[in-house]
Amino acid sequence: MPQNISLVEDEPDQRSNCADALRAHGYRVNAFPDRVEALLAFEHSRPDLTILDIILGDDVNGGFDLCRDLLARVPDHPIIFLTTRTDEISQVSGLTLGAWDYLSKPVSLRFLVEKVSILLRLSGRAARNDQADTLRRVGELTLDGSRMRVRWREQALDLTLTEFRILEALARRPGHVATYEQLMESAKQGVVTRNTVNTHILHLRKKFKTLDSNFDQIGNEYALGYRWHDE
Amino acid sequence: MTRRLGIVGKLMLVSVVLLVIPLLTFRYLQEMHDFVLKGQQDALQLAAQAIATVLHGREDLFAESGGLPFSPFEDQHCSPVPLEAPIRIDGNGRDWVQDPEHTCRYQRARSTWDNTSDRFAFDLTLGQRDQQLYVLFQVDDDTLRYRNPRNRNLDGSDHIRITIPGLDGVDRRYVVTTGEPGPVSAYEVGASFRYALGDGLPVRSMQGVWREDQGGYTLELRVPLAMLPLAKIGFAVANVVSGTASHKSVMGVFPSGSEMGGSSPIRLVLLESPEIDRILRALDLPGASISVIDERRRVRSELGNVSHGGTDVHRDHLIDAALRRGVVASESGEITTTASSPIRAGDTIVGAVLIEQENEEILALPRLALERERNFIIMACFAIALIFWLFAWRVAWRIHRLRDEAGDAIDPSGRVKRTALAADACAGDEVGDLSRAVSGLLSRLARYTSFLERVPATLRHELSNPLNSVSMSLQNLASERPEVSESKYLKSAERGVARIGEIIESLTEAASLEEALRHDELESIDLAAVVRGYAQNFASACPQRRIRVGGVCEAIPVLASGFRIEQLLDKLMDNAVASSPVNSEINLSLCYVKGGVRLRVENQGPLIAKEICEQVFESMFSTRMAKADGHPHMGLGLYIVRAIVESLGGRATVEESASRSGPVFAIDLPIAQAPTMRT
Repeated sequence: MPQNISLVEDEPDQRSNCADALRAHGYRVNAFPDRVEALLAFEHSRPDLTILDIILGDDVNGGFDLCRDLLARVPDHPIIFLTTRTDEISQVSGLTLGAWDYLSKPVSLRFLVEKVSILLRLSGRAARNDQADTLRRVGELTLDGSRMRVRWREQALDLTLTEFRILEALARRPGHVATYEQLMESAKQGVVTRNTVNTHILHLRKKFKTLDSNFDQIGNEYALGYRWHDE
Repeated sequence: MTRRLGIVGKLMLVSVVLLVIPLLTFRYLQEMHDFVLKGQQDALQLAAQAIATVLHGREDLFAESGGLPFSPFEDQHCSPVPLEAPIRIDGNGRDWVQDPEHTCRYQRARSTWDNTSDRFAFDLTLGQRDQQLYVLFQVDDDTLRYRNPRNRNLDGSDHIRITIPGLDGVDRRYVVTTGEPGPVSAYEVGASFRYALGDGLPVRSMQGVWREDQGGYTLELRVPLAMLPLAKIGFAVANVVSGTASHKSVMGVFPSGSEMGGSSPIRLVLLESPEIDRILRALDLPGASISVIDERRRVRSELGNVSHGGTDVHRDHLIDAALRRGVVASESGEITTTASSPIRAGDTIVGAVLIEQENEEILALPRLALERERNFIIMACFAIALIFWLFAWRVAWRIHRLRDEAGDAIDPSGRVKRTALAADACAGDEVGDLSRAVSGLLSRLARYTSFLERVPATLRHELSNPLNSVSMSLQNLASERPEVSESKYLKSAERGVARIGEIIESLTEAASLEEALRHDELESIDLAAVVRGYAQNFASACPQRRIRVGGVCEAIPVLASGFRIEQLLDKLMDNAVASSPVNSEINLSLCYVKGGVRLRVENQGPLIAKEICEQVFESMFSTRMAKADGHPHMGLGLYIVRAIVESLGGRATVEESASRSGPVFAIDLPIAQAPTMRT
């Protein structure tokens, strides 16, 4: 049975393009141009995943409001922002609201489809409470690749999909430099700059530090990338 | 730069015009002076005419016999001089003011004197003071004869004969003689001048002293004016050269009757013409002197006392005018104003009235008025100048304040910091207008600047959506039509999309940078370690340039965010690599400067022109075209550098030096005081 995806995008061309691409990968897509229609449809049937643009017509924060509304009804609902608003403030706002990921336009459809499939898989597993394998330990860090869960010194860390990917790339070879290029690749976004990577690392460090104020495992390799210090 | 004259200076220069006020005052006074003198002349002319009218037809007053005796010295004017100081009667003539005008010299005509070959002459000087007539005889006489007191006759020795005409037409006669040098005695005598009348005692009211001197004697005599009812007195000097006490002396009396045409043996000296004098007294003109002059230019009467210094020319001129031409005339000199009017009797001119008045008093009026007002005028000029100065200072201050505020309203990078100036915003004058105009200008500029600042974000937003459409369409096309997925046109379209994506990305990076910088969390990091690590990594990533690091090796704590420093270095190195030739050297060095640390990045590319040193840090400023590798160059790198540096409280500059081989970008950052650091 195909999974349902809701797509909220005010621009018809992008809406149809995106929907076509997803349908081509076997998903059932319901596309809506604005918040009201999307919310109405959500009342009738709950999709498995929602892709939101932030600016919906004249409603510059329509996507944020919709995200808040959806998560108020279904807290674990996977939401991906797909938007032109790439500034940090918007990114942080979006992720703080509870979105699973934040992609900026123009997006690579391949990445988008991949993200969608990973998120659906994760949410499905979460729903089934699947205790599957693929656990990897790097020192005191535990990475659960299949469920995108991270534990640091046995404490769970709540990361976005992109953050998880970056952390995974960092910890792949502890003690070695993970270059910007590798990190960008792992972020699986259309256009990723060093700055985007830096922002993600910054968020990662912050999240670790809320658990452990002495956390100092992510080191800068200026001009190259970052390095995971294994103790 | 030489400072030009400011508003204050200019206005002070303009206020020099105020000097016109004293100048005008001076001119006004000059006019006033002339006007007053003219008035004075007119007044004196009128007065002279009035007096002349009073004397009109009174030729009797001017007749020779009419009480006006003539001077014994035909060609000399002999009249008593008013004495300023009292004369000491001691036979010494030195306390007299020896004025030739008032000294009459008599010299014997040799032909009339045949008894002896003695030298004989005398000087007569008359003075008047305190109702006394002073007479000074200075007689040259080789043979002095003194009276023998045993003799009754008085004419046996050298003596002076005095004749005083009386009111009743009878003359009174006196002889002044002495037995020895010293006080003399005066006796009233009969017509023969020989024997004393009455009891033969001397007249006590007439006093004098006889003093012998070289070649003659000096006699000083004092006669009360009360003894001269007609103000006339005649003198003769008798010189006795031989003879005995009992016998008739051989004697010469000077001037002799024959010399005077035999009319009178006595020479009378005019003191005043009493009739005219009485008339003049009734016309008394305060501060003026009135003279009545007869046709022979003799002063018949003089009233008042005016020093006519320097006006003799005027006098002569005016007397001429009156006597010869018969016109009323007036002239003003430095000290006095003089007017003259002819006195007529029938058709002939018998004399002239001459009135002299000192200008002093009347000219003093405007001068005193000016002196009274002088301080006020000076004060007023100063006050006006002060008010000018204050006003100019105030205006200049307001303009300065406006200038400073307007200057501060835009920061060095051209951003409008405020759009409304407080200075003079409510003032109703031109400065206020200027302030409001500048405020308006600033707000328009601010709107425009904010529009420009929004352009990248707006552009990104507006471009992203269609770009996304194109991008997605291409991807869908490729997956839908596998046969075109390898088409070079599709690939080139995808590259184009990617390039536009990059452009938009770098635009956004710059546009949202300032907002992002505000949210950065700063920590103390070791700038030296960051730079060293960066350079090392960069060298391995970019083998086409030789990277060198120099300068301070110790830890330099800087309050910053590591990846911002990295971003900053990225931009600086990108710029250095892009503008320098392959295999050239890029030098990074750290040194301490006042209040912080300086990071210098020097490459061997072309020098940056001095004029654009400031501009290179501005947004979208670029001297380079798109690079060969196809990466767009937006001119945002150095703008980002400056934005980061300024957010950290530092400064980014291009070092100016002609001796360098390439441009040097200098980043000054403040040094942090925090104890712990991250590397």
